Amino acid sequence: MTGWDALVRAALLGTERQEVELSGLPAAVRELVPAGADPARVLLDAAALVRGYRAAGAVPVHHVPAESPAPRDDRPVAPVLAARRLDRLLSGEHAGLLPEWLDLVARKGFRPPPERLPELAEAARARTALRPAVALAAGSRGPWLAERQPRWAFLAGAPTADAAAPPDPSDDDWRFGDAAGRRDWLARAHAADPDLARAELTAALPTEPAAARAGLLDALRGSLGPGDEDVLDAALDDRSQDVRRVAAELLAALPGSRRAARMAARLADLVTVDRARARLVVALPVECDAAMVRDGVVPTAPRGTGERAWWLGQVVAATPLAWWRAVDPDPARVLALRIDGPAAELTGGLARAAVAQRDTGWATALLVARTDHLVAEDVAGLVGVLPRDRWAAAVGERVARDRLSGLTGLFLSLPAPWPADLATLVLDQLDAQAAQRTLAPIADTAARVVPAAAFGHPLLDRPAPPDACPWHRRLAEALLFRRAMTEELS
Amino acid sequence: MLALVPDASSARAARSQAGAARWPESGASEGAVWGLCQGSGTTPYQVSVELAGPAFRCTCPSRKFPCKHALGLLLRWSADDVADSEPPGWVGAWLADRAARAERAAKRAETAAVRAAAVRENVGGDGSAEAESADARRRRERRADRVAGGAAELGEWLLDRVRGGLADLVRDGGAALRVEAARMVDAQSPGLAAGLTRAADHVGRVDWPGAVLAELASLHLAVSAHARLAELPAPLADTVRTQLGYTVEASTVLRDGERVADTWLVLGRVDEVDDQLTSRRVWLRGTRTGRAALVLSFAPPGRPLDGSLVPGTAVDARLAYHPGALPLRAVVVESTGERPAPRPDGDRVADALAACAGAVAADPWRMSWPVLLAAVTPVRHGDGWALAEADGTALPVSPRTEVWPLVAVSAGSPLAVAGEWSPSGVRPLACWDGDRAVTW
Repeated sequence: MTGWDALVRAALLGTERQEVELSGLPAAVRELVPAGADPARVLLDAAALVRGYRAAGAVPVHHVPAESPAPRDDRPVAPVLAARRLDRLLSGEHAGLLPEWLDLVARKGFRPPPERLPELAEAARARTALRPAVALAAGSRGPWLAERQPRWAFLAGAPTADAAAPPDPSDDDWRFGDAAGRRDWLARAHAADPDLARAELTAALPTEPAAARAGLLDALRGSLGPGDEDVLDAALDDRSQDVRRVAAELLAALPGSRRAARMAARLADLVTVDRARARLVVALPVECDAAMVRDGVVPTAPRGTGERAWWLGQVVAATPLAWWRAVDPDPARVLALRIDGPAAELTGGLARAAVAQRDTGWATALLVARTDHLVAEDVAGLVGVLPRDRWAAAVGERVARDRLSGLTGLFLSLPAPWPADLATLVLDQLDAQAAQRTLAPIADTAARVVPAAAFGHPLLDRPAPPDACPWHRRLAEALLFRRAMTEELS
Repeated sequence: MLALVPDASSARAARSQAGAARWPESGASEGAVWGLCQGSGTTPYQVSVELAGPAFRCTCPSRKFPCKHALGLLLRWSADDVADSEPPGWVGAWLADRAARAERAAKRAETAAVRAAAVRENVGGDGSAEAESADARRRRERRADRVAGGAAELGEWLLDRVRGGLADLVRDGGAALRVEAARMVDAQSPGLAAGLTRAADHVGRVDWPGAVLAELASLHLAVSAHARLAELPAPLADTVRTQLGYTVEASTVLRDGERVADTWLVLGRVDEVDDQLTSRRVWLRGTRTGRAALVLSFAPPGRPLDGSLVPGTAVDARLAYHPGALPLRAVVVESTGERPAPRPDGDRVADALAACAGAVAADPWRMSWPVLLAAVTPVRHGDGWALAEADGTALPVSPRTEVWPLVAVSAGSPLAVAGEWSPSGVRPLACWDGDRAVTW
């Protein structure tokens, strides 16, 4: 027992019960304790001395092993103003713009101030979508920090293996990785060596749980090719509805598949052309048989849609658009035919086919001829198929014709970022209808997806009209914030 | 006593409550009287009176204040019908709460005094020391008497506690310490009250006996030193007086304090928030003189603190030091702008510790000191962290310190680090990433 512990013990029990023992104290302290008849006073004197002795006598720790330093990061730290903006983003102001800040910083060749990496890593722990950007921002410090703080394992970023190296199935990511790690490995392997990836996938599928099977199949999406058909077609017989749905979805993007041919055969039974009267005669499927269900047709229609029309729409959506060449090689002329039958379901199916098969010819024709039959999501999908420089023209026509608020669904579904001319078009409309409360969702979307090229719009710099809705101020504020953010990093 | 009575009917009612039959339990200590009074309900009312205020509390629903039960209790007490005893838990808790509030009020008063003094200094003063009025001298002497009385009493109280054993303290969760703290507030010794409150806060925590003994020993040292104040060298006497809670008005510091002009490096700042007051301490270091300085500021909760000294900057300023054996706390007399400070020259770990030892030797109550380390790397050390020099000499980082920002900046390479040293370790407050000052 050290001298101090003896003092604490005596104090705890009381000097009336416990003798004060000074012999354990350092000699330098013992000499200074004034002798006295009152043990309580002796104890407090000694304790005060020990307290000072300890505080003044603190000694360094020796032989602490050195740290291995992280590799140098030669990217310059983001400028002071940009760093201050990061602090504002991290404190919750316009927190949704943090990914954009990280993206800007990365594109300009900067890195965030290293002292903010822990806070960024914590933010990315909660919002997984941020992880790749934060790992990129952390640079060579990322793996170094991940090694010391297991919570931030994702900072280690993409596996260090050379991305160009041929995939190796004995890779730990594939053999022992978690679901996401296996999925990533498979996606990379499939892009580099589809045959090998398919072989691995086929071997793995029978032993995986349903959710993992769906995830692994989905890993083929990025580099889908005709060779994948067999795996996908086999997956149409999977026990799990989720797996079957993914397989059908992927097969829809393979117009040469056997499923596509089966769908085309179904459609051929239903559609006839009456050339004399320039009509397309469309019959409805009589039943949704087991074979159709296997091919991914969902038998139960949503409320408000006729069952048979619902099946028709799905058959049309899954049929290769090339099938329609027999009717007419020009999509516009196909669409010019009058329809005897459920026009909305037919047009919707064509739109989904054009989106899945990324067919610009059909997308253009549909947007010109039939938009009144299309729901907003389908229009947005079709616009997304077009080259970006044609978005404004495609949407602008509708903006001019319809009331902007009727296009909420369209603008919420359009892929970000919007091209500059479309952004300007929408900002013009928003500015002109500042008193229109129903435009809030479009404005809030625009605040995020308007590109930097549109930051010169007068809406940012003019005072809001007196009758403007709150969304108008929110939009201007967000765009000003983003403009300043861009300028700080240019 | 009947001056306290709200009206005549209350006085009659109070007398009706003073009968022994209504008081199954009652007791009195030096500062308080309490009792259980049998009213019309089944549960007796808990009545307590703090004599210093006086302040009253009763669990009865009456809206008269003080209520008849409290007055009845006082009548019994003034008739010597209440026996002396130790306060039970419900009384102790109330007294402790009042003590805590009184302490906060004292802190507020100090802030107000500092601010008022600063205003006087800025607005009016011609700088001449006005002759102390007779009134002011009487006030000063009266306070000195009360403080001396309180200190002497605390000295005896501490000895009694150690004779009887600190183990008794846990039985009431440290309430006895808070009661004593309230008495020190009454004795106008907020410094002693604060020490007792700190000791009370330790009770029940891991290793509380050692922590409580250390606080009590520190108080013992202060009251022992105060008992022979006249024999002490003047600066040390000032330190002792500060320890007891005497404040020095800013105007006095500005007038009489030691002035030091230098380019001051702002090493870091630490904010502490309690429910009544936020305080900020800013550590400075003179780049030419090597002097350390501590600038304190206070603000009500939710209001911004003085933001003029920004960590990581250098500011040309003249400071005036408070008196004491270890001149540290200072007031900014005048300053001419601040600028980012490039990477400063710092100390080796051994030299920084020597400076800390010197500080404790001069002022044994000082338990924190600024350090500026030239080149250290944060490394894992046991369950925590240490700041290590290239040869493995290191200072432990104080537990529960946010260290990751520093670790991320360093990434295994040595940095200049500024921090606040205390016996539990260093609390890093700023570092330099090349020439870029970094705070978090």
